[in-house]
Amino acid sequence: MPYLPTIGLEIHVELSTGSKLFCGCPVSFGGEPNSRCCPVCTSVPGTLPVLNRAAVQYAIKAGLALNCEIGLFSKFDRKNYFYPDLPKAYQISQFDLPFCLDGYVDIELNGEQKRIRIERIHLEEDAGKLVHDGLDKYSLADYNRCGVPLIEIVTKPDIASAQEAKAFVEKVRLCLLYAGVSDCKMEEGSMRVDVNTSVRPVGTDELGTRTEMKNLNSIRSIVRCIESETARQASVLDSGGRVVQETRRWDDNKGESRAMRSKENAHDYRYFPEPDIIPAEFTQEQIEALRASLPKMPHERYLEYTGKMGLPGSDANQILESVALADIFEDAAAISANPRTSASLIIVEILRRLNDMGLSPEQIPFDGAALGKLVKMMDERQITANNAKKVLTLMFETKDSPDKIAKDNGFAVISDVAGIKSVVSDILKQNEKAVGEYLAGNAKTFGFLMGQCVGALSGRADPQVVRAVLQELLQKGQD
Amino acid sequence: MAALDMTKLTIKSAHDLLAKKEIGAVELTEAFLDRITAVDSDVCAYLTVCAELALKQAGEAQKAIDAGSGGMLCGIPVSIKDNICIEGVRTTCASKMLENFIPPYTATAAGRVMDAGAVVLGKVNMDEFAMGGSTETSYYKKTKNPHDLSRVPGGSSGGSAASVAANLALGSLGSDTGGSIRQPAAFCGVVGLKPTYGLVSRYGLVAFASSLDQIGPVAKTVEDSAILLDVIGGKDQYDGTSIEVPETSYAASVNAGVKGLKIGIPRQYLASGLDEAVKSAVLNAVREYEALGAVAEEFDMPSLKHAVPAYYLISSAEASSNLSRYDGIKYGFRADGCESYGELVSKTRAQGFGREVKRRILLGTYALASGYYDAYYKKALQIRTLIRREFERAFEKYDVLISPTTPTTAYKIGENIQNPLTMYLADIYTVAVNIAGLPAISVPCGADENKLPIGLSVIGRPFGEADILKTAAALERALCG
Amino acid sequence: MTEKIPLQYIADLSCLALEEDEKKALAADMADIIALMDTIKDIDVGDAPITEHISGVRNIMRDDAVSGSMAAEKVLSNASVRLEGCFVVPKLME
Ligand SMILES: [Zn+2]
Repeated sequence: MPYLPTIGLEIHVELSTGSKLFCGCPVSFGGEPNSRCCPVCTSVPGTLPVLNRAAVQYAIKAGLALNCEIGLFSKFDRKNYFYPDLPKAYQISQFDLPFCLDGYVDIELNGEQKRIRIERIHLEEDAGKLVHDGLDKYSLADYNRCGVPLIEIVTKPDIASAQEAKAFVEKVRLCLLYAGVSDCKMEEGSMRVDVNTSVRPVGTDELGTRTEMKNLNSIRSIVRCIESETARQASVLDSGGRVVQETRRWDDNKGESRAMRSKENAHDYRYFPEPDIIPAEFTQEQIEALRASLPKMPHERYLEYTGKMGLPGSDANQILESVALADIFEDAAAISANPRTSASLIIVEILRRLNDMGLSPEQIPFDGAALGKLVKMMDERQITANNAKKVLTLMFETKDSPDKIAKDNGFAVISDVAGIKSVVSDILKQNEKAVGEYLAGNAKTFGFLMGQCVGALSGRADPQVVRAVLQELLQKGQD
Repeated sequence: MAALDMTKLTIKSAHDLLAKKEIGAVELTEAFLDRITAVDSDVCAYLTVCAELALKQAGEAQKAIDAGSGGMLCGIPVSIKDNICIEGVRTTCASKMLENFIPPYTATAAGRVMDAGAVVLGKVNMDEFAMGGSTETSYYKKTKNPHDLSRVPGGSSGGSAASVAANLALGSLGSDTGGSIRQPAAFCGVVGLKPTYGLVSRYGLVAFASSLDQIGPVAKTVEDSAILLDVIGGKDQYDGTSIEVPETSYAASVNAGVKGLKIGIPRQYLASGLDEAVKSAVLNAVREYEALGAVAEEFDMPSLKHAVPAYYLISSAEASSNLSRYDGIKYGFRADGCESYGELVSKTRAQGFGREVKRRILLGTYALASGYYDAYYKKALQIRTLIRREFERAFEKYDVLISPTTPTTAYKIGENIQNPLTMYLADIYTVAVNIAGLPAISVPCGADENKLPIGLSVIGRPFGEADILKTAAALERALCG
Repeated sequence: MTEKIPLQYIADLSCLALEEDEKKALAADMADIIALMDTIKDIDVGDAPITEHISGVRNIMRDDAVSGSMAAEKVLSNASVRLEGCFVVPKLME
């Protein structure tokens, strides 16, 4: 029997604040174990959490970027459970009054739009890490990650395929990158996804029993895990079995999942209002100020790029993949008034150089204004397309402006005809034999002379002008 | 003239003598250390005596006094309850669980008294994790009431009150979750003040019930309590529940007098269960106030009868969560021979906590467990709102409220410890104040036929510490002349 | 009559490995205390909201400023067992 999956996601995203959610320890990746810890984040008796304002603002910005309603009154709650990566044995989280509710993201798949609803986004603290490697009887606990601010984005079960899940996660990732609240590096664990999957026979509405797959940390594993879990549940049902509600662990190497032995009491979290943190209350004006501080979201930019700026959709998407590229593009397009050339320089030239140098778009050493200036120089015929590429290469090496680079390296176009004439007449003098052949009627020699001239001008003159001058001077010689 | 017994001074009088160079700070500290050596084997107030640290601090205090830069607490020897952290000084919470715990940081309140030049003589006994009202649940020792060594000093800050009453410290910092400063102060005949929730930082106070806990002073006089409160009060960036308040001098408020003061007496607090001696001492205090020009009347606060169950639900629920961190892994006791994480945690906790602590953890877990939350914990938080509202209404009419601090005077060691319910019900006059987050002070108001002290509680509006201090001080002057 | 307390479930949730006799004694204590707690079940609180926080103030937050962490040795200084700069946890029985 064919089955359709129903999928809901819980996406955990670490916020890129400077310090942790409740203490002044830095938020960063890697480093020695327990080197970014203090009495607060290691739960030393007597310590208290003090809420990081920026983390709250980031959580709200994330909600605004994902079209959520922002709760004007929010509070924190304790989620109580014993686990060695959680030193207080409770996680400070939000239960019934999270910062963000009822959002959505529109995804596009095979040319069709679909809206995936977001149930809520709440702010909570991350847990530590347990290292099991190579140890027989023990695990080692590293609390560096304890207290790193985390938002959890919970969707409605609106996702109907692995590909939709992929499109959704990618879109959410992009929105959060644009909102500037996280680096969303899945490979470093700053974005992790739990997948809830159930299946139902085609043609029925009744939802099946769902399973939960925890902590997937790449788009690829999300897709594979959904496909595998859908197939697994279908085969369980086809063989007359029942799907058991359980948490399963995905093994990306084997491409399969297995059930985790669940403790009977694991889900009685005994939530209650966190007495150590005073509730948060905002005015609508404060929320609107945060909304106004958000940069334009990618879907909005896409419409602008493909609309009045005239970019093809694929080019727009390529630029939108990185906030840094999009920002450079927009500045360059504004300064040069030439979005298409700006885009093509970025997509063809800049991306190639980044790739060669192993750099990310954030590491581009110049800004969009500089690129815009270069495009403008091309448009105003101050530099040839060929030399513009050379200037671009040098822009990665020096901090100089494109016009200074052009000038210092002799790339500037010689625009006065008198200057070109003197170079061309020098060439004609040096090549009397060829001139004689041309005058004798061998038209092919013109190409040779033209080549000599262009070479001597080393690409600094408009070939059309050179051709005209050369013809004019040869004409004179004929007369 | 007999030699001055410096341990019998008050903070104020010791400060004056220090300032006049009639006594020295080191000499003063030595007098206390000597007395601790001589007497504390009977009283058993101290868990840890920090002689070396104290003498070093006294030496530095003397330098500050000599330089003319010492404040009211400079050179004053104090004791600190053993649930308030001082970096490098063992802090046990009177529990086997924290037998070897050396805090890597200092509590804000303790830091403030030390920065003010106070000398820390040591850490004093308490009920285990502040759970109890007699200091009998301490894992280490039973502190005695200095007025009768066969009786309890009260609790949970029994060591604080006993150390002050027995002249083993000039003042002390205790903590009060449901009466833990005021009740031992009443039993030991000293002054104990529980500040408004948020006035004194809880940073460094090992949590019992986070929404109820406050650190506060225990001292011989109302003025001394105010001097300590002046130092420990005020906003702290490390406690997200501490509140910015305007700068005031509590010490300056104690002489204001009570003429025209409107005093309310909740009728429910004079009802059955109250010892006759305690009741008559309280009523006598009311007459004193009236004689001083205050106006007193009884009024109804019907929700007070729910305060004890609501208190035990809220405090146990929060405690069950706060005490979950003791798992043997990061600090404290670790059970031997455990093969799995689950075994380690559950054995460590079973062996490291005493009976009373386990009882509260179980109660609190029960109150929060799925299926029980609405009937217990949520209901208790709603009752909390009702109690707060009744206090708010009362304070529209009255400046302060008064009540007995305890229904009886100090009882015999061992008398009630087998019956937790009796112990819980004895908190009837103190817990509502914590539920509503209000300030309250217990001041001696007489003695019973066994010469055991009786305490009167004065309750104020939020941040009305100046009101309760002046009210308590007026009675102190009237009774002691 | 108070309903029977699910003591084993509560003890498991609390991570307390209680001996049988201790469990019996605690159950007896708790029956009394829970009877006291049960008195609030019947109180009519009307539509009184819960007290979310006792102080009634809002929005106490700190600036996002990094301050120093502790040296790892100090972080671990109270752990009775430590290894390779980490806290040591017996294996989880999954
Ligand atoms: Zn920290």
